[in-house]
Amino acid sequence: MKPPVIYLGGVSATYASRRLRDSTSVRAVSGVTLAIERGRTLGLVGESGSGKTTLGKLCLGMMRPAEGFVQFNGEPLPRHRHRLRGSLAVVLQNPEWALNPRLRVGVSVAEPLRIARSLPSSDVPATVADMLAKVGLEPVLANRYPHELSGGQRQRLAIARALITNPKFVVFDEAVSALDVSIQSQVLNLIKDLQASEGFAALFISHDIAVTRYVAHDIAVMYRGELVEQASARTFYDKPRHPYSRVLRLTIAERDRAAFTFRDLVEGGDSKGCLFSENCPWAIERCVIEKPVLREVGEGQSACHRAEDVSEA
Amino acid sequence: MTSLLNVRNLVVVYDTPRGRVVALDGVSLDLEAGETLGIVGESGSGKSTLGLAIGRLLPWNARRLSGDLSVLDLSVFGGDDERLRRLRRDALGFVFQNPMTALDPTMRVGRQLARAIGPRASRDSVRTLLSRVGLAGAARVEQSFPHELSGGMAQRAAIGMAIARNPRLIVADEPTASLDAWLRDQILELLISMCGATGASLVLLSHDLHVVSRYCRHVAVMYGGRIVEYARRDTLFHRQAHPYTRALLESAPGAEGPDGRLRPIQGLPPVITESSRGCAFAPRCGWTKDLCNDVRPEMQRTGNRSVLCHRAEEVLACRSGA
Repeated sequence: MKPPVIYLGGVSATYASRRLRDSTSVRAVSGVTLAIERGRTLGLVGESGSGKTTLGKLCLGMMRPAEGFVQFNGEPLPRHRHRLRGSLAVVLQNPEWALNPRLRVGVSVAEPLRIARSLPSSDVPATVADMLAKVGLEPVLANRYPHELSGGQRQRLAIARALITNPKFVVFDEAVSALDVSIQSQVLNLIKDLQASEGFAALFISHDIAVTRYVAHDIAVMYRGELVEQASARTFYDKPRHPYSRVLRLTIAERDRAAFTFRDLVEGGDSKGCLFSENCPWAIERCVIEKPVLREVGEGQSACHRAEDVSEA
Repeated sequence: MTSLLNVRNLVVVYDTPRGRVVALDGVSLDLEAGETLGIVGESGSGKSTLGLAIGRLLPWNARRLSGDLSVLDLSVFGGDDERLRRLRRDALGFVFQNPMTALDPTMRVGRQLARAIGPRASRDSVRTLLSRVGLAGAARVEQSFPHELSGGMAQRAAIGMAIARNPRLIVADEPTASLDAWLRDQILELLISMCGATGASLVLLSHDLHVVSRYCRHVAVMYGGRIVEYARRDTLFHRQAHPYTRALLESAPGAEGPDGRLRPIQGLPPVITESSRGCAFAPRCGWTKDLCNDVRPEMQRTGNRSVLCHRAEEVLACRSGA
């Protein structure tokens, strides 16, 4: 059997504190294990500060894990990232971060090809034109500058730039969050189509559950640096097995609303038990004392002592 | 009965280095005391300009070309600056997307709230205000600087500033766009309960039709600087009379077509440089006839809603999209 494209084994990541005379570090991701297979999209949801973007960086080798390991196609990520150039790509929230304002967009889109030197330079213009067509843009737009284009067009170009080297793994980090509702749907359809035709594995990071449901095959939920639930998209939306997933689902499912009485949000300190227990309507004494581990529940995994009760309710 | 907010054919333009941009292209609107109105639109639809115009808080390069806007029968463009200042202080409350823009970064939150309450502020009144916005348990908030608060707490403090003098009208422009799903509900619930408790009206501006309709009794949809459909929320959700409203609902994730794909609205939102001749949505609309390009639609009553579309009756009669 082929190894997954990306495999994280018990990965943790820390940032050094930025405060003066403070040598403590902040743990952004702790003990995450997950795999993404070829042609699959894993949707990563959670609130800001939950470690989603850090996890994306770990997958791309832009950050080294403090514990655990990252594998790409069954091999550890090489120390020197340039060896994987062209195989890994990222699309960020803001297309301006991917397009040099002083270069014609065609040059920006072609840049990864020149850097990876995977193609004779005579073939570059044709490849760029092909790629622009794939993302639904007229090839003549290659001669424009970023400021002459609309936000939706620029995000299509950022996607074109990411995919031009035919990567095996792509991270979409809030890639449609800045777009207007009517444009967002166009780009979501595009991402879905491209993945079906190009077959890359993808990590789709978003705070928007409705958007993630549309593009992802599987869903992973992060809460304060930990993976609390992982399941296929359908299982996740029909029967979430973690209280926090149900909170997230509130944004799209009205029927859950009545079932919730929110406690006043407490700012979490260090807790021996479940990190979510302070805010959880299901919390029992055990939750405060004993930390739940990710375990198989039904067709997915949940890190909750009361996962069975949560999904029944 | 006089209405709280009255907008008549308001036209506001921005003068930019690249020429004039029409932000409001003839908006009319009435809001009665105690009402909650959600205004929905994409960026560039003019909703923020309308929100700012309520307090005449428009940026320097904005100009009112015609029409008028009055709050409690005072025209904000009337030129009586002293009366406008009092109106802003006593009758209006604003909540914006980023709470940090409402809070002074160099002053402790308690002191800022005391200033918002006015000369009769006391330690107790500040505490009461904090507990009204759900910050009672956090005694340290009073002593904190804004940067020491989390996003949700800062937005609560900003709402405290807005409601400090029990305004008659609260204008909230995307108050939860920068917050997580978890906090979004709490903040909007808070705003609604504040309005319910004090009898204030609420104008909630958002790009999200679903969020708006969950919290507001009336919904106005804006496109190209005009209100294109206005109705009670259940009326609007039951059926849509304007093709844009319908397309907006149908294009959102969660409303995929039978083939499991999203049905996006093709094309781009317009940038209007002069008052539009026909319908601003015509280039992206599946219902367009010659009439739509040539004749500017006017607001018409259809059943219990107001619509800005020549073919509203037909759109309403048709079950699925065009």
